[in-house]
Amino acid sequence: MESDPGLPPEPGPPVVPEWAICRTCGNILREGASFCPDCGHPVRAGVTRPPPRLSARQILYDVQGSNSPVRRVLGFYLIWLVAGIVSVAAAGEGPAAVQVMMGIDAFTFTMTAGWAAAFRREVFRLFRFPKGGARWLAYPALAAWPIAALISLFVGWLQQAIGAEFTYSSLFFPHGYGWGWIILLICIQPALVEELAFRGILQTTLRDTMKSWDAIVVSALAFSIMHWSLPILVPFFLFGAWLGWLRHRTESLWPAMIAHFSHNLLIVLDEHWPVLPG
Amino acid sequence: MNAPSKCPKCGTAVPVGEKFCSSCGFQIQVSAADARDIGARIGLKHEKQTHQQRIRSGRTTILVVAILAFIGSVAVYFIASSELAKARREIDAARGNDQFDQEKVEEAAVEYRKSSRLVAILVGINVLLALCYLGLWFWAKVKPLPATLAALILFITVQVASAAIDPKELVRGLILKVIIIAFLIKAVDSARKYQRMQEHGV
Repeated sequence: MESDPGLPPEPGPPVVPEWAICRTCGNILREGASFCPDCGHPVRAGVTRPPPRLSARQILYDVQGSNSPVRRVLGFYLIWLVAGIVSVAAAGEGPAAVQVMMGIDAFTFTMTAGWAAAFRREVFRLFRFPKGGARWLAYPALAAWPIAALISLFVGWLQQAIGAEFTYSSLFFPHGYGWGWIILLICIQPALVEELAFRGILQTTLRDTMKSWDAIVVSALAFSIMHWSLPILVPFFLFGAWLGWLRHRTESLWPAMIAHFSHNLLIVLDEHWPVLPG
Repeated sequence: MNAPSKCPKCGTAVPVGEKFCSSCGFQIQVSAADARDIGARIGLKHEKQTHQQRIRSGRTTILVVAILAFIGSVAVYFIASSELAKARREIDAARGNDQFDQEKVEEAAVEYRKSSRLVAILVGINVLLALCYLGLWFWAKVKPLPATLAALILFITVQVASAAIDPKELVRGLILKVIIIAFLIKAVDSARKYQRMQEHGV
């Protein structure tokens, strides 16, 4: 229809802006609102509404059951405590030391594997390729060298001060256990089982109840205190925090396992050849 | 069933009478059925207070443990110092004195130096432990759940470890240790439950 160019356009019906009225219940909205204050429906597309509010009774019920992750963490840690008790009670540096170690390692391996199997969905996810690429498989192995150097220096100073001389090799070689055993029990077992237990199971379960960094701190503390040596508490805590950060950053256990294996291997090799300073 | 003036979830100001928060969609007014369920709502409020109390008790327990650990380290220092001082005097008296075999005196001097270093490390470790507990006490103010959980793990492990090394240690102050563990467990439980209540907007 042609309009007369000389006249101004006719005023139409009053224009109500789209955001002004809730499409579900017709209530008038305030400017900038994301949800209708009367029926709770989202105003804009792509906005999800929060879940319906629970009744007090439902909240009470949910709260009662909310501590199950914490109970699981404590229960799992107790297993490691028992292993620690046995290893100290049967301690010594005689020929039985390696056999005791084998027994404890078999126990912790079984318990950890069993626990992991029970929570296999979350645990299997952790064996994925690290987020961030393949460099996260190489970087931990390289970083393990300066870290092992620092720890070795600290332990060396401590042993000198106490007057004790402890080496892992002294438990193995004089009693007929060779490199295969020492690598298996000192390098592979901790890298596999301790990482699965502390970074895999403990830290992941804790993340259900607290922020990632808090979970890293608590699991690192449990990891360091589990070695039952207060002088080594701080270095092992920092080491555990680094491993926890690796697991958090890559959402994978592989970097932490590689780091732990490399670190322990360097410590053991250093007992025979000067691979580390000091 | 009063509508609050602030949304419990996101904190935005809410005019009185609106049922949902315009900003985050949180349901501010409880449903009619819930409003009739006065028993559960009172129970919820009561539980919240209980949890707050238990968290506070847990924090205090951590402080108590820190103080005890510190006192313990001071005690170890003084006892060990007096023993070491006595040994030092005997060695000094024996030096140059022809009545004593000088080789043995030098051996004793080496042992003395080792012992004094050992004592220093022992005291240092106990002080470190006390500082850990103190740090956890501070942390518990902001993040009660990880802090009380860490304190519980630390305390139990230290007690079990010292008992495994020297079983007599376990019996000393056993009742106090059990009480401490009980308070810490209750605090961890309440910290988690209180946190969950806050997530529900209670």
